[in-house]
Amino acid sequence: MAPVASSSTLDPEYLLSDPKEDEAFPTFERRASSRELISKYNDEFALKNTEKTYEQQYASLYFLRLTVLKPRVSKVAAEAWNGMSILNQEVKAVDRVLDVRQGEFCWIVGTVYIEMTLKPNILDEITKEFWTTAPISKDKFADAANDAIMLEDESGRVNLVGSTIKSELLVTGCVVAVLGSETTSGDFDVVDIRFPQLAPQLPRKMSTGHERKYVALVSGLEVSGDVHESYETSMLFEYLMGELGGSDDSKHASEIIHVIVAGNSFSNRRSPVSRDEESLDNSQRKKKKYGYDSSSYNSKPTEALDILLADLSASVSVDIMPGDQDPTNYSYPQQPINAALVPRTRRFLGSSFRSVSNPCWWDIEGLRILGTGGQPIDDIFKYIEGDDRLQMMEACLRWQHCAPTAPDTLWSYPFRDCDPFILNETPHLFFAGNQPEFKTKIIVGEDGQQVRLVAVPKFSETGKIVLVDLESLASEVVTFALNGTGR
Amino acid sequence: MGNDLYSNFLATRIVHGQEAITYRLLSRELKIHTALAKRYLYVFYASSRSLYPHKVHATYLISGQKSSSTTISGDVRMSDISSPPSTPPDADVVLEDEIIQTTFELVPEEELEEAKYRFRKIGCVHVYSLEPTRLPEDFITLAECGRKVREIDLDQDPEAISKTYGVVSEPSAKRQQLGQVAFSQPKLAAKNVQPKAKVPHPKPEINQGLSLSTKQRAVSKPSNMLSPLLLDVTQNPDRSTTTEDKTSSDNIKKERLESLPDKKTTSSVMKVDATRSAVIKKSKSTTPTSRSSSQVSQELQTMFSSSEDENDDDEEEKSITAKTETPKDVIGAIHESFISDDIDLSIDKTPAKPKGNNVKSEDIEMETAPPLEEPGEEIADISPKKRRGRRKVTKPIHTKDANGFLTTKYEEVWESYSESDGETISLSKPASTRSSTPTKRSSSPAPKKDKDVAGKKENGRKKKQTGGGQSSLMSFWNK
Repeated sequence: MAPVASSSTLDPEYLLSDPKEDEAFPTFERRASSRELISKYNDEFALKNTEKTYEQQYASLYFLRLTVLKPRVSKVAAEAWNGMSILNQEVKAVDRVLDVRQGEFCWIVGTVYIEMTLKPNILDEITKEFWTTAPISKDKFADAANDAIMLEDESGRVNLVGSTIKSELLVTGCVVAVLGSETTSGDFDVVDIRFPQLAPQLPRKMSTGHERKYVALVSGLEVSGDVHESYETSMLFEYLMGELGGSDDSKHASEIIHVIVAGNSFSNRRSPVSRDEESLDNSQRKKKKYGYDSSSYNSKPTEALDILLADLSASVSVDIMPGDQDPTNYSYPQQPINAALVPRTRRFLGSSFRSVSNPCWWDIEGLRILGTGGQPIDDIFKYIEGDDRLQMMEACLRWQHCAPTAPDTLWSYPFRDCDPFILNETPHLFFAGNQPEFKTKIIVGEDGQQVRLVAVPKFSETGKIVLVDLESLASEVVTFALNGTGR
Repeated sequence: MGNDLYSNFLATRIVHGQEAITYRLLSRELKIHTALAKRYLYVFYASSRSLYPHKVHATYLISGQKSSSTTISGDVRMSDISSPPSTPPDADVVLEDEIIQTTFELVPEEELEEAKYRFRKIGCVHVYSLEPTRLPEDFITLAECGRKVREIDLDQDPEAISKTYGVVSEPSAKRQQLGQVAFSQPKLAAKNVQPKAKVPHPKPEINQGLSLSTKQRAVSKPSNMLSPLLLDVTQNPDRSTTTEDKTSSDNIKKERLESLPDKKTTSSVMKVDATRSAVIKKSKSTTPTSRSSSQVSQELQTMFSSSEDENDDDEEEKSITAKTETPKDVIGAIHESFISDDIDLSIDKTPAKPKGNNVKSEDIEMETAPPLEEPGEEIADISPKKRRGRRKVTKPIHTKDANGFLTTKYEEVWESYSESDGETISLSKPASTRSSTPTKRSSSPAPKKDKDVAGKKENGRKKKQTGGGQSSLMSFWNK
């Protein structure tokens, strides 16, 4: 065996040798740290069964959003445009979009609505059931040439035109201020645009200790419980428990003080065996059962995940957040996965295991974290051109709204007292789970806010998890691979 | 010491048993540190080449940082993280210069050298597993080892696992020792309300197998439901809200245990809350029994038991416990417990939640609430299959404002309701403690409904009296 040169202090092949007499192997302990959930924000995501009603319309959600965000964006716009004059005409603010006078330069604030020709429409879909047109299945529904961008407030809507508006990243539901004038055709020709920008940020508490602390972001485990379960998942859990690799690796793993499992932990794929069965005796199958059929329930994913999480919870504190495949409500905000699904892991409730909502706010060692299972970003992706996930995440922070497309295209509960997705605070770390690939950057706001954005890749497809240093916000990627499979 | 042990073990399992053994399984089987297990695997592998040529195959784990130039398929994108393609670097965007990427890769022995070249910096190489032949591409055979490891680890103390095998430990991790109690919870609930009726029975004391703390955590739904009632029955109203301390209840239990005749136990009885049963026992031993309130106890029985398999013994027990106070007070308590949402609260509590003294004191507070004026009327409330009460309902109210616009206001209104037992148990309700229900009742904006309910109650009571404990079907049609 040819030794490989390494700059490490420890010989990389030190485990490929005879055991020495009385050699002591180190065992590591994770440092005590605070891992709080910020209940001020998370409570707004909690839907109590008894208080849930679906009688109300969604309009109040948009109304509340505009009420809260209009003063914020107006402030930014006033700073930028007040006292400015275009073509010897002083720019003034107009309170309602319908009060704009033709030819006058002014700025207005409202909620963006984009009329999209390709957006799936339930009425169209019903029509298609009667008229046989081939359904067009697309990943994206944006069509820059035909989409009409409008600005809406409680008074009405105005059509926005101009090259400025076309080049901006906008989705239905974000609140913006636009500067321009009304054209003869009644459209609003946009010259400039302003967003609420980053909300205030709490100063970070810098710890005095020099030890490193990481939070691990894992997403898209898709545990199936099948015999063909990918072995990378086992390696991941061995790593997090500090068993995999050499003592340097164990030490590094012991610096992970918290693990956030961000969505889609359960696989919803049917096992190949059951699919075969289905096709084989389709004819012999019993009459279709209406409603819930308990015999079709597959308990394997929950059992397998329970076993993995129970092992992990004994070694590190874990939060599990639901994703769009997980067994909880589908509409946003998703409620915590019922801990009864994971009976073994449930025994760590109250100590090292929590089931949290999606989205969720944390305060880990003074670092404010906002995380989602990725649905808002995935939904925005469908309705804009381009595929830069970090840009979408940044836009969310600048719009001060973590799920702008709810309730239009992202299913959401019809809140009537508050819009819980409005960001009153900018987190230090903002992550979105279940993204196609790992990406990260730091953005800096006008008032010096620094935010680490992380697109957490699906583990089941990439074999990657992300570690974020709580002190420096530096991020690391840990990959698990099987013999050059390249995952 | 381990030398022979591990080589024998590995030879038996790999060469003769044709099994794959990972370092984890070896460490669990021999109760050694995983790092030592990794070494043992290597030593055995090195010696096996002469001892068992071509009979042992090794799989290695390499950890380290891959060189970005030699990225393979999916890793291609990783190299251009530093420069997002679509957006030009803005002034306010701090771009990453370097992101540490660690890779853990499993490689078969044939490709070890080749794999090493894919790494820019190798952190560690160790033998991951030994097996008779080369593993399939997906290494799925190793999953079996993982299962065996879990079987060994199962229910071991996390701290012990950490010390023995070198697993990183989390000081805050505490596994609740619920044991079988936690897992049998659904069964208990499925048994319906029967256990409640048996609460006063001395049988609970047999469960010395369970520790006191375990029993306290395992507070079962049915027992919670009954607790306010029982406390009312058994405790002096003048008592302060503090309940007996654990030691006193322990003592009483021990006493009872000794004097306990051998009676058959049921699993549901085993799970009864220790402290509560202690309270009952105490009161039983201090107060003389009389049979005057057998009717009340019968109502209790019909109320809490839907199954008919109760034996006479149990009924006896019930009447004894229920009778220690005057029937009127008992009725008052029953009424209280039914009209208040507290019952629902206790029903909906997750069983895993530890329940302590808070719950008890809450219950006692309820007990001290003023008794109702018309006990005769209220008896109707405890008809066996129906539950009545008042709940807060948010109703939209449309009004015309000064500008002539129609505005919608949401106001919370108290509304009376009645439901059958089965429904309410499955329903979840907000947890609210109400100590003085009668006052709220008087402020009710819907008196008409109240009357209706009262009328129904009257009916229900008659039915109940004639039908005895068997009135379930009749009350259904009545509804």
